[in-house]
This record gives sequence, structure tokens and C-alpha cells, in this order.
Amino acid sequence: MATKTSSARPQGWLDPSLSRRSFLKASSAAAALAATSTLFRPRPAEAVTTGGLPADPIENDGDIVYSVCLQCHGGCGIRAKVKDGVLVKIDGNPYHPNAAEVNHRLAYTTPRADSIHTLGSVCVKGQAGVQTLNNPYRLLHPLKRAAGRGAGKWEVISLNTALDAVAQAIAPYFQKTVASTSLTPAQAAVAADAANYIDTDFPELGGKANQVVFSPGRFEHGQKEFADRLLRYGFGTVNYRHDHTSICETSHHVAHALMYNGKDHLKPDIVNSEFCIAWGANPLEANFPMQAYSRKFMTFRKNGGKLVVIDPRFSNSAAVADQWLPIQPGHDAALAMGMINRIITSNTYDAAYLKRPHAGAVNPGGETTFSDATYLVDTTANGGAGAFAKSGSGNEQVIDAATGNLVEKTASDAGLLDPSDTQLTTAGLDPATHQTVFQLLAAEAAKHTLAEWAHLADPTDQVITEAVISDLADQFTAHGKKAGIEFYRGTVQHTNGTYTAMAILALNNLIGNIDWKGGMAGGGSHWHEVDDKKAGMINLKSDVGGTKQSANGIQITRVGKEYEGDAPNLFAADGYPAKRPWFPFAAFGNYQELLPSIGDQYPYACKALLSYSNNQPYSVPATRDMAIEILKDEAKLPFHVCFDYEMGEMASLADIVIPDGCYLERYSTPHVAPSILTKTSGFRQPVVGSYDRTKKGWEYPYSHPLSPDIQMIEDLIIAIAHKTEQITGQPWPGIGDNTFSGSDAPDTDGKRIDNAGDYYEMILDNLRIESGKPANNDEIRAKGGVFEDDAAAYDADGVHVAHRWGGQVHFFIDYKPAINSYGGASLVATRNSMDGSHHTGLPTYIDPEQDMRGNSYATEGSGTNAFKLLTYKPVFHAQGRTIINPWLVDLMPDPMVQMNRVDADRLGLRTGEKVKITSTHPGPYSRTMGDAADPFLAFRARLEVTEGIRPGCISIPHSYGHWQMSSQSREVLLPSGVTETVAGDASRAAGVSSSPVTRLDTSVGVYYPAAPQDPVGGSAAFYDSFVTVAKL
Amino acid sequence: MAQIGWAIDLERCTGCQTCTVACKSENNTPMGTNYRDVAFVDSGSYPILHRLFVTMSCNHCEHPACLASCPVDAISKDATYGVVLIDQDKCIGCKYCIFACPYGAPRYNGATKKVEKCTFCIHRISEGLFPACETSCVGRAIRHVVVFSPSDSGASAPAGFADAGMTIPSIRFVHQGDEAVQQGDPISV
Repeated sequence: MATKTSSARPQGWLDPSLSRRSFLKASSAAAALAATSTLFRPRPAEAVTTGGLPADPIENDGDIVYSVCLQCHGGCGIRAKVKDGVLVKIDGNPYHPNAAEVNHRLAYTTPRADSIHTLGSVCVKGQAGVQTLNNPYRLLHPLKRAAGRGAGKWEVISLNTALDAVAQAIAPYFQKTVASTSLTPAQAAVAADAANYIDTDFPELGGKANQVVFSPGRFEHGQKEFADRLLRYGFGTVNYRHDHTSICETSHHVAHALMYNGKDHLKPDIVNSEFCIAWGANPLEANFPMQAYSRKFMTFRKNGGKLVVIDPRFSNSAAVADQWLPIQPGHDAALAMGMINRIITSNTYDAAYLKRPHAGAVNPGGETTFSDATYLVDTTANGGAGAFAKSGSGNEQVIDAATGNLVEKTASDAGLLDPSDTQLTTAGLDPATHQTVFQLLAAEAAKHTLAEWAHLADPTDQVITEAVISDLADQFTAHGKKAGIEFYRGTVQHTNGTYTAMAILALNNLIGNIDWKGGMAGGGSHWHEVDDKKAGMINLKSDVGGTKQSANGIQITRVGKEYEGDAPNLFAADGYPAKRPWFPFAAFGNYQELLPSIGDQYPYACKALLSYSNNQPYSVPATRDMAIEILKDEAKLPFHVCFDYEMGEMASLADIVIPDGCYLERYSTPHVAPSILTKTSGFRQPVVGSYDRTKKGWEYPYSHPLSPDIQMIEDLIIAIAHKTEQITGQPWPGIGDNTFSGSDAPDTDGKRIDNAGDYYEMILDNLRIESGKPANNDEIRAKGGVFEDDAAAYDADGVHVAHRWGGQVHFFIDYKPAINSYGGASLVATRNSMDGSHHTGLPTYIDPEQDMRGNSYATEGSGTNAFKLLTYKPVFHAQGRTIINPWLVDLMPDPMVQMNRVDADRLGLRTGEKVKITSTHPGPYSRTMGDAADPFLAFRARLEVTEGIRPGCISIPHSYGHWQMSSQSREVLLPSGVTETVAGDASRAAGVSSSPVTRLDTSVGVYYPAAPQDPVGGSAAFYDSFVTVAKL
Repeated sequence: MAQIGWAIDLERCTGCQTCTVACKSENNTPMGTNYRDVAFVDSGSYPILHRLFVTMSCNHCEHPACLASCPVDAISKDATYGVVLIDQDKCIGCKYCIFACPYGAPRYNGATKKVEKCTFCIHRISEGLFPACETSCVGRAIRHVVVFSPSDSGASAPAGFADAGMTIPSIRFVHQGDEAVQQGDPISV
């Protein structure tokens, strides 16, 4: 080896005069000196690496910590290389199935010492996690606003002072719960706990504890269950967790849960598939886990698998596909219904599968699932939405194929899919009012001809034609069970998202591909960290000691509840339309309704908002200016504390900001997507610092190298609980002396939770006991989790996956699906709270360009310079926070607004030109973005002319267009009495975001509208807005 | 002297640019100075489009044009692996090598005002470990070959790849059916 190489460079990192090590030393020394100005004098991101540095030193066993990434939600195991207490490099955990493929991944029994020089992979975002930890702008101390909300003026306060303020704000509502939410107003007014009701005129709202709202944007397993435990069962608020899922892909999950009785996610077993459609999904860039899924897709292509990508934008996934179909956004169900039409009329569905009416039916094909395709429906019920024609004993019925008789489903081995009128009549049914589910689906698909469906999916008739639909359907059905459809947010973040998802899922169901090798799989899932599934495991989810609170009432976003049935007094008072919409099936919450509901004080007022890793003003479509107004309104929102590790858009508007550790400085137990077929329980643990389990949460157990004020959220919640106990004199169930009830009550064996470390030790106990794999908890820590080996992926029969779902497939939703917290009626029996109409029970095509009251706004897109506004995630960014990673930003430092060449030529626009983008909807809070009038993003929108986008659309990448995230300067009053100005970093503000020009739905709300949204699944619509684009 | 080289399977490249960033993290290069980049080669017109991802760094040629161009003899081929290295003490930042290289491998560092480039992670391979781009490659497209045969130089290269006859780059491309290079060869120290 040459003695002088390009790796032999002088020391230095953040500054040529400072190595990484000496930088951190300097910072922690400064922290020990109680917030000297050094901490608030960050450098521009470009200076984070200035060059002239040696390559990383070689690692040995003591330098490696296995943990789990969170640069996106993929849950990939990581291998953090920590030299002398400084994180220098991140790779993949070679034990983790995301990070290493078959024949490369280490068996779980491989001793840790033998793993050190086997590196798994982690993607481009994961690599950049080094810069998330070593982010020079991160918050190190609690801040209290020193002027109006959002003024950018702060005062450093102690962690104790900050948490005291939180406890003071929430203590008046502590355990203000009610025994019953189903009393009449008269009964409630005289009930023993009458004073606890938010409003005895509306007992359904529940107790005043509900006026304390916790909203973590991104919250991980382990953390979630802990907050639920303390806030739901300890504090008593029903608003114990409003997380981000509805701005991600919630209608995808809800559609699955409706059709598969609560199973909310399936993915193709892609490596064994022969044909796959990636529909509004981008597995090479944005799906999850991106690295494992994209690697499997490339193997699938190598194996000769055919790939069709349906996406208005030419993504990296489209680049490796056999066929790219740039569909008209939001009209995906037209293509799906056309394919269903073709499959049914050409008899290419799997009839033998669809005829099976129950699990016990004869099963020559080896199916693990069955469907409702042969069940009979009375089409006149539920106002025409239909209902199953049930027997006298309440069971669904079929016409038995062998006898022609009408029988209960369990009395038949095969039902008739498509009985003739004569067969219906013979079975005693009126053909005018009775059909099978299959016939109803066929009729739905026959509402249009293939040519008409093609024209709806692509009005230009250029890329999707009758022939294309036929060909796509024929290809899809030509591979037996070895075909599948991957779809994600592109298809579902629309006003029609749930029904579009159901139409796509119906295609999978027509070939009966679930649980088959090469078909759709439910994944290996995980061991249970908080449930007592096996003797010796502890119920960490809901077993709390002391006075366990039964949080009840209506969540402020009205999810999981039916307007008419669950809120009878509100319904009697307001009728239709409801003041704001209700979402009985939105099982994963409704993030975009949170702030407007607080602003409207509907159905009640919020007294204290605790937000955590939540960046609503930036990340919720159509929200920016409205969110800022609501968050500044001290009458509507008296108290707001934000826990975050950066001065994000949400934090910038809080009363108090408390620093959070980043994902490399905390515990949690992330799960993986069903693209992983083996059981996987990753364990995220701090890669730097040390944790002292002898300290209680309020004694701050985590010793972080940068600041003593960086603690884990679990410990901060325990500290708030401790302070609330001191204020109220009432014990907080779930921790300390009141950790568990009954036989698990704290005793000499130390079953108590006094800090995050205690809680996660019990989680490790649970994982160890249920899996039976690790010898002790140290083995889980040493290997970064518990993992099943690859041999467990497939069944010994050679044709099925090993971890089977094995349930019933529902095409028609007239049953009560096992959806989180939902106790109401079936989909067809529930009504749209805006007009009282029944929800449709079948997959169907709905025009996406309509508001919550069904008013079409398609004409907003009719102007010559009107465009459909799209967004996308490039592979090197996640949705909201990767702007802090200079290595990633440098891959696209100057993001642009993409427009097709044909449109650009027509409008006389060229690449690089500055443009202004204006919403065509003249509602409140709508903006012209990019021009001088825009308060944050002036002059930032520039155009990229490309072939790779459907004409009539423009697309803006996520992750850019921040106006906070330390892109602006802020003033900070230090304990020394000196006021410092922290200069912003302009690179954090690169580009624009779509939020300010997304259409608002003004058909809902008392005063505040909302992002356009799916009335069933609750997804926020990102892609149903029209804008005009003009040269600046 | 053995010659280490690359075997690149473009049919496995997902275009994610993890290699670019993994290299930055491993080698601590400054912003804007990347030893490995991914080229996006777009062609066609809407709606029939093509895109090829090509990951590329220094090819550690048998006859490096950079070495020949260097006026101060700062560039040499390492005796153990045939890796082309730039002596940072000798480099005067004249950039001749940048112009000479047919593959754009040498990169100017604005902070040091010198030229640097891919070292094949010589600090890792000399310990028997693999280069950072290879271990991080999400699609498993990047592999090293311990004993690279000059006769394979430029094999199955994509259109636009410079004529391998000029410098004999230590790189070949893996094509459909050529599965010889599934995993990088073990490196003995």
C-alpha cells in the first residue's frame, strides 16, 4: 500500500480545524457549561463536510451497535459504527432480513463476534443518518417562546421548568373521565361524575380528559404502546394518539381491512412472482422497505418476471418496467374496473376458487382462503346499497352448485357465481332484487364498455386504450397464482382512495392469489412486544395498576365513530350535513382533521396539544396558512408543547419546544412490511450515550453526548406524570407503585416501570419468551432484534408462503370488519355524515374531483394553463425531514417543478425558468406560490421540462420547500442573559412544497375547511387539485 | 501484481445512489466531491421512454491516462491490488488528470485545492473487507473481482462507455445470463 494516498489527508470535519471527535467533545463540554453560546452558533450545512479528511478507521466488535433505521418507515436493521463515542458510518445489520438477502444474511444463531465483518446494506437515506445525529442545528435545550407564537424569539429554559409547565397545563383535566357516554343529557346532568363531562348536553363526547390531545406524527412501536398505556389508561384521554397515517396511505390499509377483515396490508411475494403491476407505487424509490423491496424487484426482473408500472410520472421503477402507463391521476379505478370487466367477460378469473363459500368447503386446489363471491345480496336493502340475503338464522346464503337449492354458505362446497334468472327463481329468489356478489361486481364493471373505461382512465386515448386494458388483464390472468399487484399512496391518497383500492384488490381476488408463493402475502409479521401471548409474558399494553381509566367518548377527529349512532345528541342538534365529517372506518386516524377541528372546536375544544415529531403545517396538504393561523390562536389552542429534535414548522409555532433524541438515540421495536416473509422484531437502541436504569424518568436516565436535556419521550412522559401526581395528589396508573394490577402488581421481583429502560427490558423479555430464540436479552441487544431465518419463509408444500393469512375475502362489505376500535355497523349500513347517503359496499369507480358533499370541481381543471398537481418522493428523500441531510440534498440541490415538454412548448416555458403556481380554487388560504407575495417560498419555483410526466400534470418532490427546519434565523435568550441570533441555513429552504397550493375542501367545517379527503378511509388527497402555472 | 476490478450488473442497479453517499460517508469527501456517481441516461419521448442507471467511479485502468498526464508524478498504481492512487502531498491541483481520464473519475476538492478520487477503499480491502460502495449496494449491482482479467475490460459495456482499448479499465459489465459474479470474491490479506 502506498504511504501517501488520497486517504491520507489532514484531520478536520465540521471545521478543518476540528475533527468529528473534537467537535463533539467541544459541544458536550459546552453543554456541561450550561448552554454557552457555542451551542447556538451552528454552521451552514455545506460546511458539515469540508474535505481534506481521512477515510473512516477500520472497525472492530466494540465499535458496532446493531439498531434500526428511521430515515424512512422501512424498519431496516442497521449496523452503526461508533468510534470513540462518535457515530461515523451506518451500514446494514447482517442479521436483519431488510438488509441482507437469502444466501447473504446471517443465521440468527451466528455468534455476534462472527458477524462484525459481514455488512448488510442500508439505502441512501439510511447512510445519511450519520448527519441526522450530527446535525449542527438540532435542538439541545428546551425553549419557551419569548414573543408571540411563530415570532422566532425564544428563551432557553431548564427541562424541569419545561415539564412543570406541561404538567400545569394538563393537570386540571387529569382523570376527568366519565363512567358512561351513552347517558341521556338529563341523566348526565345529575350523574355522580356530571362535572367531568365536557358538556352534559352531549354526553357522547366523554370527559374533559379528552381535551388534552397527544399527536405524535411519526411514532414507533414500543413508543406507541407506552404512550397509549399512560395517556389512555393513566390520564384518561381518548385523544391519546393522533398519528400521521392519513397523510401516508391510510385508505390503502382501510380498503384491505374492509376486504380482509382487519388484515390491512398484503404485498406480492415478488421474487417468486411472474407478473407484477406496480400501481401508483414506486418500489425502487419510495415503497418500504425500499432497499429490500427494490432488491427483490430486481431479482424478479432477472428471473424473467414482467413488470408494468402505472404512474403519471416516469419513476425509477418505470425505468426498469416492461411497460409504463401514465394514467390520468385519480382515475385508476376506471382502469381497474375495465380490467375486471375484461377478466369476467373472458372467463379468465379463477372460478374454482371463487365458488368456495366457506373455509370447510372441499378444497382440491389447496386454497387457504375463500370469498363471498357466491353470496346472495338483496339489492333493495340499505337504500339500494344492498345487504346479504341472510337465512332465518342470520347466515349468508348461496345457491348450491350441486343441487340448485338456496342453502346457508356452510352447507355448500361450491356456490353458483352467476346464476341465471331461472336458477334464482328456482331457488326461491326474485331475480329483480337478488344477485350474487359476483354478479354485482360484474354489473359494476359492465357499467361502461372497455373503450369507455379506457377513456375515463386516459381522456387523451393515447396510452390507455381498449386494447391496452384487454392486454393488461390477459397478462395478469395468464400466470395462475403467480401474479400480483403492488399499489400504494399514488392510488389511494385521493378523495376516492378506498374504493379505488378495493377495485384493485378485487383484481387480486379474482385470481385468488393470497397466501400463494408468487402471489400476495401477508408477511412474516413480528413477535408481540406488549401482549401476554404466552405464559411468562407481560401485558404491557393495557395492564395498569391503580385506578385504570377507561378513556371513552369521541376522538376530536371523529374517527371510529358513527355520527348518527355514536353521537345521537349531536346528530339530533345538527343533522346533515355534520359540522365536520365523521369517519367510522378510518381505523388509522385522521391527521388532516386535527388542526381544523381544534380551530372549529368541533366537536369540542382542545385545551392542551402535545405534539411529537409532528410537522402538520408542512406535511399536510392544503394546510400551511390555515395551520399557522390555528396554531397561533391562543383562544382556540391555549397550550401547545412540541417535542422535536429540529425547529420544524410545527415546533416554530409552539409555546414550549422540548428537544427529542433522534432515532439513533432511543429505544423502540419497529416492525417490517409484508414484503418480508419471515418474522422480524427489530430492536432500536441508542448508538451513542449511556442509559442509567437506576434513575427514575424524572431523574433523566439518558446521558447524551451533546446535551443532558435530550431524554427519551417515555421518560419525559413519566416525568410529566410524576409532576402531575404532585400537583393533583392523585397517582398516575401504569408506572411506579401502580405499574401493574393483580398478580403482576409490583413486588419483590421488580415488576415496575420507573423509566424507559425498565419498560423496554420487559419488552425484550416478551420477545425472548414468545420467540424462544435468544438465550437472554443481551443477545437481542447484541444482534439488534430477533429474526426468523430465511428457511421459514415458505411452506414445505412448495406452493404457499409459510406465514399464511388464511381468512375470508370480501368483495361486498356487509359485515363488521375487525378494524381498530370500530364497534359500529357494516359499510353498507353506515352513512356519509355530510348527506346521509349510504356508503357503497362494492369496489366502484368514483370521480375524484369532488368535495365531501359530492360537488364536482372538475371544471377547475378546464383552463388552458391548468394542471393537475402531483407530488413524488425521490429515492433519496423521505417525506418531511431529510432536508437536514446535506448528502441527500446534494443529490438534488435545486429541485424543480416537472412539466411535460408538450405543455411547456405550448406555454412558452423553458427549463430553469421561474414560475408561479396558483390554485384554481378561489378559496380561503389558497396561495400563489413562488411569486413575491408568497410569505415563505417566494421566487423558489423553477421549472424542469421533461418527457417523463403525463401532459396536463405537474409534479413537485416532497421534502423540499421548508420555511423552518432552521432555514430561518431565530433569536434565543440564553441563561447568561445574552440574546443570540442563530443564523439559518438557506439550503434547508430549497425548492417548494405543494401544500400551499393544494385545494382546500370548503364544503366542510364551521369556519375552517380541510384538505380534500376520502370520506371512507380518511386519506388526505394529495393529487386531486388543479393549479395554473405561469412564467414569473 | 494482481489487478482488482469491478463487475457491474446494471440489470440489478436500482438507481438509488446509495453507492454515492456510502462512499462519501466512508471516505469523508466534501460536498460536491463524489468519488462514485450514478449517471441517468434518458432517451425516447413520451410515452415511450428509456432510462439506464450507470454507476461509475475510477476503473483503476491497466494504463491509466491520469497517470500518464500527471506532470508531477503524483499518480501511481499500488503494487498489491493495482489500485490507482493520487499522492496528496505531490498533487498540485493542475487538473490535467481530470481532462485526461475518459471516465471522469478524478475529482477536484475545492477545500484542499487538489485532485482526489476513488481508492477502491484500499484501507478496507487491505484488511480483507469490501469497498463501501459494494457493501452498501441495495440492488447488489456492484461487485469486485480480485483478479481482474484485462481481456474482460469493458465487456458488455453500455452505449457511450469510452473505448476500453485506450486505457484497459478494470471494469466489466454483467449481462443477462452471466451470473458468475454473484458475490464479491473473498479478499485474502
